[in-house]
Amino acid sequence: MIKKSGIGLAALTLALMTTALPARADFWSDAGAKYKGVVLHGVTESTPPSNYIKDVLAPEFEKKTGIKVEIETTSWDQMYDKAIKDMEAKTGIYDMIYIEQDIIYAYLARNFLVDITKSLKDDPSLKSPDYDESHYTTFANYFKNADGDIFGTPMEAFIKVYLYRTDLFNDPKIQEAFKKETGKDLKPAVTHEDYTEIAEFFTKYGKDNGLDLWGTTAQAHTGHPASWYEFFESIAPTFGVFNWGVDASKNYAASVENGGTMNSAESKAAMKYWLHLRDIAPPESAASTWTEVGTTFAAGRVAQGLVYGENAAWIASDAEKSKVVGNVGVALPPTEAKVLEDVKAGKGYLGYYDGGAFGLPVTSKNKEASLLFLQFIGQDSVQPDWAVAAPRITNTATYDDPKIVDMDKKLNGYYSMLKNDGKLFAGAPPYPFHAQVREATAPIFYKILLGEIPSDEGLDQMAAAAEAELKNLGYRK
Amino acid sequence: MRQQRPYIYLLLWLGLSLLTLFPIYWLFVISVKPAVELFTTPSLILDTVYWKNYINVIGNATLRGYMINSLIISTSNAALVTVLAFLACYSLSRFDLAGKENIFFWTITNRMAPAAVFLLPFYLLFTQVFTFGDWKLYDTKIGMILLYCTFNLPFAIWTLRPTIDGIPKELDEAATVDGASTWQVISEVVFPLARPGLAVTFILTWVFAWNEFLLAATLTSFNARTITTGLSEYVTTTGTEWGTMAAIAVITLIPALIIFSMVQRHIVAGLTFGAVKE
Repeated sequence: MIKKSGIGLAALTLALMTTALPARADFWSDAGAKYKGVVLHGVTESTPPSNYIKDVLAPEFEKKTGIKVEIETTSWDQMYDKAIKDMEAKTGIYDMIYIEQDIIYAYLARNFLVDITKSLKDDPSLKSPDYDESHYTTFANYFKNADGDIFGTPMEAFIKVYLYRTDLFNDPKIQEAFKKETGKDLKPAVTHEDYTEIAEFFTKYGKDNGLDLWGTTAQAHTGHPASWYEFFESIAPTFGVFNWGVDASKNYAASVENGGTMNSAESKAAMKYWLHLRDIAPPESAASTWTEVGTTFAAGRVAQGLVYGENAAWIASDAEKSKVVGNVGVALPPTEAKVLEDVKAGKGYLGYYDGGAFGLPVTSKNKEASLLFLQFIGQDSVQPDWAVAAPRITNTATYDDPKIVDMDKKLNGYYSMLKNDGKLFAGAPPYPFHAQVREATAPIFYKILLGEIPSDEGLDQMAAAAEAELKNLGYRK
Repeated sequence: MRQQRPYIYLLLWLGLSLLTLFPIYWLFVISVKPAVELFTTPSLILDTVYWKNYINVIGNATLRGYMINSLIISTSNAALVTVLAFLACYSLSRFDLAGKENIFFWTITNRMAPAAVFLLPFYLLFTQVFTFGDWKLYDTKIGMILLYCTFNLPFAIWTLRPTIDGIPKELDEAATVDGASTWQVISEVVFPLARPGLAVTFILTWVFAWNEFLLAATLTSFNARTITTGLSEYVTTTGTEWGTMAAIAVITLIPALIIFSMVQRHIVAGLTFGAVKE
């Protein structure tokens, strides 16, 4: 009887306690309460990672905080046009903007962005216990200033890799034909010489056998920046020409005469190598940008190629878009022998590490609420599902998640390569004059592609044009 | 006398129809093929039908919102422009205004520069000048309706003026003698007779507003985004989703076809009205 009364009393006490005390809230609902009803606006490029933010993370955040997030996804050029106009005119339309890895330097130079690290230090009430900047991969370094403060929450990151068709490379008949033709075993290329040999073999093999098959991709559009970037970000570094051949330590020299490498012997060899590949690539290569090389590979029209990692994932896994699912091998881009050693020793890089982050414009009218959202998408717990839905990895913890380990198998080790060899790749050089130098040299570059100027002479002209533009901008004194 | 050869005309009619409809057929074929087939086996033959692109588009609430915005903006703009152009043309036609030919020519100068030239000024007007507290003209349907007047009204005035000029002034005078007010003359005499021209003006204005991309892309974000700007979301660094874009394009043709079919009987009359002055 006493025992029964005791239990009843304890239950009554517990019931009273639970009704008298307010429900224990988590960080997000507590921190968000102050900003309930606020609507945050973001603009970003329409990519799978961005769409995941729009469709999944933004509604989740709203559910937890009461802060609504509207994400405008649009084309790459529209996104920049709108974000820059907003920040220049200080209209405060956007609370979050997509910052691509290369434009960050121009934005920092113009003080467009809020220092996230500092803001969270200044107001610890906004700092989520689940958010830790040290969990980001090294890719986050591209969004930091000299003090190590971060100016963007990394949301997509990928490297430009060498893809090859495993079904073709492992076909005994093709292996035999290759051996007969070259005297070598058919395996993914390690050097430029290997790569050229394989490319020539498959282009000839496709022609001889009436197949819609060529030996290599080439992102070689004759009037679009994509080709310029393919050469300076993906091809030239594998010959040892880094940072577009511009040496900031030598008064921003581009020409060999002044200490630069844009028209060096290595750069000229790189150009000849690439032009030869372009000539034996599928006919659409002269009109291919970063997207179309992926499409060409996915259509099964090439045996190998350099492809941006964001495309590598869908090429290897999405049967609705790709004919080569299950037949995609991933490897490091081929290099000159000494370059790989140098890169491994920390002198230079092997290819392009691309991606973007979500930044907070200083013109935003809802900075505090935006800081909460930027932390929300930067925390470890949301990353694995995001990486499955839209292959990208920005936090180190993501690699070990079982879903990602499984996905890595489907992608033939792409995530492992990102984890282990990501350090060998680099983002754009830390110059705030990307667009200006590119625009100054691109017309000459396109003339090289069109055969209107010999490549050696063209690179000499480009180096001179780059230096003239840098002088114009006040860098060369 | 020339011999009648109806089969030749029939063949000619058929050939021209096929030629005209070919782009639409091509668009439809793209819209019902999976992405992988578009690049691997490009073919104009409709062997398999893949409806997923349409399902994706119809099931997408955001796209439905863009479509509704487009309908509201283009229909409201076309109605407003047609009414204003009608009144402007009536004034230019019936009143002896000083320098009215100069005014008439001046209206078209708005269309002489490309729209891109006006982008930045409009952006600043929409975001910084026409504001009321936190409210801005930017990203509003009313803003887009008014904005399109800038470009469509001059065009409408030039299209409609021959129609109004073609209506004999004697009819106005007869109505006035019978005791009609100016407004009654406009609404009960001129307006009914000008209907074919008004229909042409309405439909062309509607199509211009419906198809416009550049200004809508810059001056809308979330609330007033139109379907043409929605298309740009499918041009991405991971590929252009041609199938989805084609499905959207086919769907966007439907309202245009409905509007055209509603006013088509007026179009021929409208295009020739006032062409010969008696």
